[in-house]
Amino acid sequence: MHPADLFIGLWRRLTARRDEVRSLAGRLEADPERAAVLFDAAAERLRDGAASLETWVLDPDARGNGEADGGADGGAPPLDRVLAAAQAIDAWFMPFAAWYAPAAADLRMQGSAAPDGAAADLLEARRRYNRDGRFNADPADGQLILRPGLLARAFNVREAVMPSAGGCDDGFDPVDLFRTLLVVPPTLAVGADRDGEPERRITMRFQRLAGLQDQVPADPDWRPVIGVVPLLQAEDDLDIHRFERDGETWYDPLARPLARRAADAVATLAEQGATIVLFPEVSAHPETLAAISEALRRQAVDGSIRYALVGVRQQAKDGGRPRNRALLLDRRGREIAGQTKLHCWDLDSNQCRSYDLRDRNGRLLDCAREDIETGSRFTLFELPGFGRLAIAICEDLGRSQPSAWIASAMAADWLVTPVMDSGLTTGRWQAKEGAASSRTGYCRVIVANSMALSHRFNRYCRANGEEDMIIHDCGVALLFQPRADEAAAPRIDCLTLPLADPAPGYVCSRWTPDRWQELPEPEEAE
Amino acid sequence: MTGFETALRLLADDLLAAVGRGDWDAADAELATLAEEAAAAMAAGRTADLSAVARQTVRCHTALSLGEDGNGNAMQRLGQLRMLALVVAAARSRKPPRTPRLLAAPGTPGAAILSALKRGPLSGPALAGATGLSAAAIAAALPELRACGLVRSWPAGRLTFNASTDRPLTDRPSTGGENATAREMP
Repeated sequence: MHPADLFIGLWRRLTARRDEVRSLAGRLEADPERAAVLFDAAAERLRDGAASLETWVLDPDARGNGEADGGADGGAPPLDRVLAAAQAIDAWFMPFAAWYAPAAADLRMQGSAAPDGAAADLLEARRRYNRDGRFNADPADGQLILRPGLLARAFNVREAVMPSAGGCDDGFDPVDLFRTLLVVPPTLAVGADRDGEPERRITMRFQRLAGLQDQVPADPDWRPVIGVVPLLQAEDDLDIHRFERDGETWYDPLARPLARRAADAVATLAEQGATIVLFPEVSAHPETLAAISEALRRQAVDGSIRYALVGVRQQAKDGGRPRNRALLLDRRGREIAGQTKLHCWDLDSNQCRSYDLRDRNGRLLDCAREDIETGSRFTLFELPGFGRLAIAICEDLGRSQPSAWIASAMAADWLVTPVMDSGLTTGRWQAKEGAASSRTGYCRVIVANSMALSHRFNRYCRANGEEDMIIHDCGVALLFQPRADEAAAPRIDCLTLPLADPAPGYVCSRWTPDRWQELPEPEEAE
Repeated sequence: MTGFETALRLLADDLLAAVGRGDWDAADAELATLAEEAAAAMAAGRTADLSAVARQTVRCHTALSLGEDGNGNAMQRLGQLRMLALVVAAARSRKPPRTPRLLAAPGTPGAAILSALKRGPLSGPALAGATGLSAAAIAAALPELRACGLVRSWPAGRLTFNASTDRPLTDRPSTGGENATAREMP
């Protein structure tokens, strides 16, 4: 038996007895000496292999022998042994996630004092992770992965703050019992597409993308450069097609081809040292996407860009509803991954008014539904040389799931949100959600926006005498550096372009949060 | 760009040119030099030079992979470059900690943490309270102190407790590891 597979079994027991585990965790936190004794006993058994540890956990002599947490149902193993065994396995995996290593040593050092089986188990773990993207054998159990992302290898903030600060309702999340390992569940409930529709479950996946890297995100001195190209600068760059179906009004945003503009931005950002370039939600027409791909290919050898994330509308091949997607391209312009929007953004009457959405007779709409086929899978990507990336397209950032899972797992390095909205500010919903997502973790959040809707918003403001609301400098990117603890505020960089003259048509910022402002408290925000 | 990387870039350009004209002896000679430089930088812990090797190796691999000519000889060198890039990336994925004396130098977070731990084991949040350091500073210091063998840690519920190992503050490199257990807890 491999330690990873034993961990899955122990994890199942722990989550099935969540309330008892919460009580046990509280007692162990108050009695670290008892925790140390249990942990050492489990670690000692693990040195002889996972089977030996399992025997220790299931030892019938240990049941009902005063271990108050175990044996309550007669046949279950003592819960404190289950937890200690799982935590010993968690620690066993720690070298895989460590930035600092003893000199002239590798992972085998950990097994060097143990039977040869330990070294073989470590090798098998590495093979599984590289080959299957998980440590456990059975995919039906989900994916057992390293919890820290690539940015978190040298900086483990979770152990320096009280776990309850992470944000579960009752202050306890079994995930927080482990520093190194995380189980990505096979599926997750995400709520209904729309009111009155049935609850949905989506597939969850962690995917390590193959590729070569020449940058080291785990290095605390690594400072990537983020480029954002709003692309849709004028109102006419985005046609918000409206139509009636089944007695309701629907909208379908269509970007016009802007190949030259996109290619020029990529070429310039490649000269300016951008590591990744982001294009907002549904901003790239198919011709534009082809031009971006070709421009990336041209810079592949000597340019700086390693990845691009491009928001597109993809027509369904079977004639069904289109999909709102973000496509990930590598430095050579090849599409290597993608995420489909999971939740629709249905507009209410206020939003229709703000964006001046009217019917064919010129009347303002009361509501407009987004005409998309929503996605059924969320993927956490691990990009060589960049880190773990979660993509939440616009509305997906504001919905409870999978945002809550991303925040709770604390396994992502980057949360990128392409949006189609009026200008970003430090006071709007994206700033609130971005700040929440970057709370007490490592997860850096980036929101990338286009400019077309800001023109519509300004028209509404002018028509309603709200001159003070008119957007001049249009927020096209928000960059959030997570705060290390509750006492601090996230740091934020809000990048803008003048709406009247958006030259040069892109923004670019090196990740240097020390120079950014602290996110204002809500009452002080714009 | 350092002089070393400039020279390395010239090597990479010559390697690509050799592949382009089908001069496989020249290409293999350049590959051998690149591999030897990579091994030398790894063995000597020359991190900046190893970064340059990584950049030029990946650059070469990217350039070759863009080529339309997928003949067997070119593909063979592409595979060799890939393997070299993977080895270099693995070498760069971890870093040895500083010596105990440097980590515990007066005025450093390490010194404050070790001083606080003299009074007994503490969790991360308790360390922040005892030292006055921010959570970020504690989080940044503990992994290196552990890797250096100055601190050992174990889980207690959701918390991680830390204890001093009382290791002498020498200039010798580390002997401990991230995975030190609680066995010698005071």
